[in-house]
Amino acid sequence: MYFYSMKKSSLYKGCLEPILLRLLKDHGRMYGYQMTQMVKDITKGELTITEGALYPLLHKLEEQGIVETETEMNGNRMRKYYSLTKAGKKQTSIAMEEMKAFMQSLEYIVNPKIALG
Amino acid sequence: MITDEQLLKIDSYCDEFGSQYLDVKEEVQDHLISFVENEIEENVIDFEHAYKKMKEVFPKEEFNMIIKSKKICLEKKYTKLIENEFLTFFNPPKIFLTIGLILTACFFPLIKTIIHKDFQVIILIAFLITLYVIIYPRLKRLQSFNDSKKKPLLSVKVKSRYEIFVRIVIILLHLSNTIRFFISDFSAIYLFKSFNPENKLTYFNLMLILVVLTFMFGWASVVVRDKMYEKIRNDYPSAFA
Repeated sequence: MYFYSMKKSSLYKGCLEPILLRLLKDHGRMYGYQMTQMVKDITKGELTITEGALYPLLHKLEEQGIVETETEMNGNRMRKYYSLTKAGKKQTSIAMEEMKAFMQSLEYIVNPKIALG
Repeated sequence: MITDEQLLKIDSYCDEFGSQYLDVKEEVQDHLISFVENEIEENVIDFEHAYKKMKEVFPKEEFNMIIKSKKICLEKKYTKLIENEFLTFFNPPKIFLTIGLILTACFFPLIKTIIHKDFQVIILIAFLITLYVIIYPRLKRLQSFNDSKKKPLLSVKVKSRYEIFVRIVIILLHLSNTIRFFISDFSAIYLFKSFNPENKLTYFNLMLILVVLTFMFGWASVVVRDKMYEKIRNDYPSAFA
């Protein structure tokens, strides 16, 4: 549900939240479509976030006070921007640490020599 | 940049699948337009082809998922707001006022001497206050609906549930008084009196306590409702423009 990425979708489940938090931390404020495009560009098309996964997560983060929104006119339509709150910035640091620890653990499993060495 | 006519076409597509609510539409619509613009620019295709592709990529199920999550988000957001506003309303002075009024209602010595005529006047005043509390939000809500008639908000829909809850509580408080008025052997009152061996608390005292509670709850609910209304107006000013 989170990603459409052919065979690897199950591998990326659960990573969407830290990915979005990282993007918002690096770029300040972003709108929904921009996030999907940026993830696609960074991963060279390997990951594609669906709208049905992106917006529910953004709503959840907004409700938890991790992100805040502001709406602006963009040409002939409204555009909603998302940015991290103060609590959101703290949460991002925690999420990044957890992500690193998780990747380290995976590395140990995938490459046991590193763990032994 | 797409034209106004093309924008209206995407707008109708949003309406068709239930995102006619402005608060949902304002993020979905921009997403769809950005997609179409990107397709036109990157793949050098015309609007009609990009629009067709958009419909394939963004089916009804995606809309439903977004609307559902937005609804949950709003419900939690307003529940939190209601809780915070109720707590803010019942600050120490108002808590003392409520306790003071309840104690007055319990032990006011002249109450026993008040005869039916005065009793009815108080009932009438309480009834009018409650009626105001019930009717005023309705009038205001109708006004807000009129304001946002062309641009409905999911937030307003969620907010109206809170008003239904407030009315149910007030009606229940009133009903308890009405029942007491018509049925003298209301068992709850006997139960209450059994904890009061000196029999200081009369039916009339208890009725006054309910009037105090109704009044305080009604007052708090009106304040909270106004805060919610203000919040919605600030969050979505374009719906009321």
